[in-house]
This record gives sequence, C-alpha cells and structure tokens, in this order.
Amino acid sequence: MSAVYVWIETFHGQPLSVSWEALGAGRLLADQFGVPLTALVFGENASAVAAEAAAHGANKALISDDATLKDFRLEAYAALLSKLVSENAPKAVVSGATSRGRELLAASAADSDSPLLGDVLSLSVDGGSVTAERAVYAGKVLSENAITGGTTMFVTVRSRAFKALAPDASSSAEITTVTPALTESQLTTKVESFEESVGTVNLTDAAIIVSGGRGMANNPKDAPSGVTGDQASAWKAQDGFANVIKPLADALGAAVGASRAAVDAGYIPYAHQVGQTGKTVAPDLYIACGISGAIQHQAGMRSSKIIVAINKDGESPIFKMARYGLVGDLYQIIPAITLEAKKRLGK
Amino acid sequence: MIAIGAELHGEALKHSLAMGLDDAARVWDAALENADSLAYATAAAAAVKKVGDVDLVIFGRESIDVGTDQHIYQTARKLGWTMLSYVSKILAVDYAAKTIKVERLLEEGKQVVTATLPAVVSVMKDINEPRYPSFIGIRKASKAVIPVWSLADLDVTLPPVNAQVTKFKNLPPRDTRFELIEGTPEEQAKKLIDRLLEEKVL
Repeated sequence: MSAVYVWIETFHGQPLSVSWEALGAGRLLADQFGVPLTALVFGENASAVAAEAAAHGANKALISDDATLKDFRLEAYAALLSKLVSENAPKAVVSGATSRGRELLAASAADSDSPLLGDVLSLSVDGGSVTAERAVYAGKVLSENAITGGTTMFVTVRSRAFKALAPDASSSAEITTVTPALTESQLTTKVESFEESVGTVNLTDAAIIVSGGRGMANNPKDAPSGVTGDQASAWKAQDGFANVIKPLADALGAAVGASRAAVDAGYIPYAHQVGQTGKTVAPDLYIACGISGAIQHQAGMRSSKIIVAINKDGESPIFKMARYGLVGDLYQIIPAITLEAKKRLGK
Repeated sequence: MIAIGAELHGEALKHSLAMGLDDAARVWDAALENADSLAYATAAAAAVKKVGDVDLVIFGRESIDVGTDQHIYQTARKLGWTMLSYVSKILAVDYAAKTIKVERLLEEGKQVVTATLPAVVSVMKDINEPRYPSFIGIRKASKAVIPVWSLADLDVTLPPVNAQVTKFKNLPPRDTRFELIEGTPEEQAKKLIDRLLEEKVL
C-alpha cells in the first residue's frame, strides 16, 4: 500500500521539532493522495519517537533502532530509505530541510531518479499536481516549482514554514520494525569522536533571535592591559555577547545570532551566523544589535515577522527593513530592555 | 577543476588555472539547460569518471544563486562513493591506504569521521585561505584552451527531469511600517516592550 513518508529526524534519540512541521506538510500530501501518513524513525529511541510521531499525526511508523543507525551516517540511512522507497513506492517522502534532511532526501532521490524539491516555503496540491515555492537569489525572489512526473516525489521543508499538527496523545500508529539495508562491514565511514558545542544554537527553530554585529566592539569596558588593536575589539565584542546580548536572549527565551562581520572578526563562533553563508531564519521577532544590514545578512533574516534594529547610525540599511528602530548606544539600550523585559515578563 | 555550465563558467575555470590548478574542463550541453539537480549530478558523476583516476571530489557547501546543495550528495550517490558533508577540516588523507579523516561541522558540534576513498566532500567556508593568482599563472591561463565536454563526450544519458521551475515571482510586499522609538534608553526600552507585547511576539 502506498503512503506519504516523513523522516522524523532525531539527534541522540531526541526528535527535532521541524520533524513535526514536516508531518504537518506530509498530512497535506497524504490527504490529497488519499494514503496514510507514515513516520520513518531510525536510530536509538526509535519506538518512543514513533509514539510521539503518532501524536503529531502519523498513521503508521516504520522504525529501526539497529546499532548501524545510531549516529546519522548518510550511507546507512540513505540505503535504508532507498530500500523502503523501492519496495513500497510511496507517493512522497518529506523531511525538514536541515543539513541531515537535505542530504538524506537528495541521496535517496538520486538512487531512484526521483524529483526533489528542496527547502520549500509552501506546498500546494491541486488535482494531484504539486507545486512549491522556494526562495532564490539571496531570498530576493521566489521560484515556483512543479513536480511533473515520477513515482515518488521528495520534498524538504524549511523550518517554521509549515505548521505542526496539534499533538493528540491519544492517537497511536501501527508500528512496523524494518531491517537496515547495510551491515556495519558494508559501511565505509566511522564516527571517531563528537564534541558538542558549548551552548547549542538552535537558530532555525527559534521564535526570537537576538543578533549582534560589528557594533559589539563598541563596548565601553576596557580590554585587559596588554590586549590591543583587533584583539582588544574582539575581547570587547566577546564580552558584549556574553554579558549584554546573552542576558537579553535569556530574558526573552531567545537564541543568539550574529552577522558575518562579527563571525569573521572572531567575536562569536560560526554556528551563530545568520545570512547567506550562515543560517536562514524566520523568527517571530528578530532584534538586530549593532548590525548595519548588509544584503548578505538580509538574505538570512528578511522573512522574520517583526524586526527591531538597534544601531548608533540611523542611516544603516537595517532600519529600512525594521518595524521598530532604536538609534543609540546598544550598550546602554540593551541592558535597559533586558531589565524592562524581566520586569514585564516576570522572568 | 570541473564546472558544469554555459560559456560564462569558462572565466571561473581560467581564474582557477591562474591560481595554480593543473587542469580544467567544462561540461555543457543543451539538454542541461533548465535541468534539475539530478541531471547536473548525473553529468558531474560522468565527468569524474571520464577524468578517470580520481580519489577525492571536493565541492563547496552549496550554490549561492538558487541556494541548493542537493546536487553534491546526488553526485556522490551516482558515483557510488562515500559522502562527507560540511567538512571544516581535512585532518589526514592517505591515498595509498585509501583513507581520509575529516572534521565535520554539525548543528550540534564537531564530529571527527574516518572513511575510505574514493569520496566526495563538501567543505565549509574558511576551510582554506585561497591563494592569489600569480602573474605567470594568469599568462598561462589566458592561453589555456579549456575543453568543453558534451553529454555524448561523457557517454551519459540524463534521467527524466521531473522537477521544474515554472516561474519566478516577487516576494509578497513587506510590511513597510516603521516606527522610530526615541527617548532615554529606559524610555526606549519601555516603549519597545509595550509594542512587542501588543504585537504578541513576546
């Protein structure tokens, strides 16, 4: 029996929230095609995650918690997905457009010469034909894409572009255990070590992001003696991210972002970078602090619902994108906002 | 260095020759016009096979124009080779033993992976500081004739194109309302929080 498959991405056995959004997108397709929505859960904790997927709308689940699937390894995951696709010919395979989701679905689409629409912002189904919108050319233009043939279509959905279905703990799914396609000795990669980054940065899922830019170097605090020039600027900016930006982010329950200029100058690790060569985000609220708003930065954050710009230069391009603008010294304004937010939000 | 694309891409190949690469080839065929990532990947894999004795294929992280990386993983699958994505450091390569050790940058942290060659890797920005083209390199590159391989030259047939761009559209108009919030930092903070609570984004 045919189906719409949704790959439920996990990390260390925990599901990613974008997977519930992918189930929401999968539901549109499953209803259109009149087929069940099937969650695919690979790796540790698979049966518990499958139960959560059922609560989020899956009718069925295919699971495997084989040891070869413990870490995400493309070859192991793609071989199993491609095996399921070739055996069952699902109408569609959907996942979040995360780094792993993009890689897995692209690989499996290639295995079956199937069409793939990557990182889509919307899906519309009309009489069996499926079209999707994608952002191209630094997010300045939308392309409309159509699936024009093939047995199985592959779709990855951008974080926060689709709504997850309201969870219903009473729903359950028919769970089937599947066998991996490859054994350990057939796999050509081995994970030697993993070092978790300090303070994980979940930018693409965040509802609120507080970002800092080059202006973070204007910290009134003095760098330690002997630290001069660019190193003094970097020290000041790092201190600002830790003691000014982070407290506001904590008060708002927000993630910390940064501009490329701040990352390139060594003020903050690359994982925080928002923009064309970093993450593309679409939070409800984006607070840009000391960011001028170069076109490459805009490419990564222009879909934010409300943009607040805080910058000493009122002529900065970021104000052209902003709903609210505050001209002044971020080192005075942000602590005041943090204080006010704590008071008003009771956090 | 191999590029897939129309004549314009020849310039990028000449630039890379000037920077010191030994060889370059361009793949182009009318059938690739408006094709999807799968077609590009099929052509790229065939071009690698035509070159012959290859252990490692290196891609950038993604294309900047249409913002996609799917052709990279699809090239690896079409070759049947190991795929190592988001590589931030190549720690060791042993061509005799056919092994590679890399550091990958994941959303959650850094992962060290060993794998067997041949492999396809995609690398992060800043993995390397590009050298400048030398004067001799520029002269050599200006004289170089870069071969253009058609699909017939690669002896490959493309899979059917089943995903197509039907049109380009402008973004929906942005909310152009703007409010400048003035006053002392404390007044600005209070007004901003008022507005954000009204907007229901806090």
